[in-house]
Amino acid sequence: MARSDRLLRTAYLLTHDWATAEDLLQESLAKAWFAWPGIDEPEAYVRRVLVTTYTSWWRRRWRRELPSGDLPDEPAPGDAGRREELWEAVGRLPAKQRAVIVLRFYEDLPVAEVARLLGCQEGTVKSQTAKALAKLRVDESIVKELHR
Amino acid sequence: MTVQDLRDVLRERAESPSPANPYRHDEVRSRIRRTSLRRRVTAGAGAVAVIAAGIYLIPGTAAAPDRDTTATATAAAQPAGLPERFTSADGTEYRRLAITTLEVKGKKKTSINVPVSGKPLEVSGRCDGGPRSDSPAVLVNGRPIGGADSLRCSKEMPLVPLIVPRGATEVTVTFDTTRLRPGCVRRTKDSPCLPVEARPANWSLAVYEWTPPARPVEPPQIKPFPDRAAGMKRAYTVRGMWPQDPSFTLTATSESGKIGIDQLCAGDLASRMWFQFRIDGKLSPSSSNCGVWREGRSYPMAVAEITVPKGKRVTISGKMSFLGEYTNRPVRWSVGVFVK
Repeated sequence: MARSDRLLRTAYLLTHDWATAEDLLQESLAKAWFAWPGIDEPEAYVRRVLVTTYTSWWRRRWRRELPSGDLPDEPAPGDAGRREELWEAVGRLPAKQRAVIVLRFYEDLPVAEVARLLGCQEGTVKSQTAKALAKLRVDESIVKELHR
Repeated sequence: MTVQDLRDVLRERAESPSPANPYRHDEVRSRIRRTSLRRRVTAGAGAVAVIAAGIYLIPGTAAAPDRDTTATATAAAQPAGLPERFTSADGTEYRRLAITTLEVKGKKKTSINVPVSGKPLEVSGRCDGGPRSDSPAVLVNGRPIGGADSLRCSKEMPLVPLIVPRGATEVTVTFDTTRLRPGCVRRTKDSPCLPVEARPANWSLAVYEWTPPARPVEPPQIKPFPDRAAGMKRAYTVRGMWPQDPSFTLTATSESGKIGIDQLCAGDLASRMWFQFRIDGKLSPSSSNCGVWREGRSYPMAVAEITVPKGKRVTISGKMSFLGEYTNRPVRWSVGVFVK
């Protein structure tokens, strides 16, 4: 039970909305059900379905989102303000970059695992991470684990 | 902004209260039914069985996560090397209950609340330092835990038993790198005694519980002691299995007045066995934990040397004890006695 709670939280980080996160999780669980007999690692499988469903939904339904926003030049007054801006900036990232950020820095998955989940090359994960961090104005020079 | 800020923001947001949905199970079931109809797949009795198998993925409410799988400080982080579940070499299933971190430039002490279901608990940690890096002290409900001090920075995943108060249903486990190292060191004989140099490292720490195997597992065989070690000749070997054989007694005579004694164990929990020896009833300082000879052809251990009366027969008795739980995970042991 706690597993799907965490998946819901991952879904929330991807969608930035609890209702949409619930919808995404339920859709992913339902999809996973059809593959259930052949699943070795249920949680990993559902996470993969969740991420791919999210990116496909984003392509179909959430085109109205404009993933171009960077952090404003003016620094926010306080730490709380900066965190709020960072959170909003994560929400403005394109779907794949947002997924990479969530998987790398919330789920703490290594590059190879993120590449496997997203069905892309490790190099793509690294470049998407770098682009996302640049948009978020996060200093990646201190990220030792970035290329792990 | 740093990556740590990003991690903090993600965790902060993810761990905010999620809306409860007691109907999620039913809603997922409805989705499956609708999809099945769309696919013109007949839902049969087998499907019901598979749904039942999948229930553990489908919670009743997100706001009240299952008590036995959460901890107050459970982070979503899944650092490499601290998997959510794993199976040990002897087939025992481990499940992670809680996870946390300690940082060189950040949090140096952290506590997590861990539910106690009655299954044995263990702590593990991975660090980015080396074998000499400072280890966190481990405390349960504020009291240091014996044995848990052996959590060391290692390439392997160390597992240390976490002994909890009898009858506890929840404990607070604290990891603390701020506790000062005891003692001091002198670089030369006359130089001042300086505190032990700190070697900080970043740690990922987790509490696991394991499910005792349904039947006792068979520990691997122990390599035989060499015929000679530390300039002494092997005279006796005593073998047994913990917990069935918790002690032994033998007699030996050494013409030189030197007796060597050493112990080897096999089994996943082998290093947790503790041997206490008595020579003619007197406690020997050679009491220690058990060595595990995994690889290499030459004997890797150091035989403890005991002085006994020359040419006189002495009685050597050994009593074993065990750190932590061992249900259905026996340990094979062997004690070698060498004489000169």
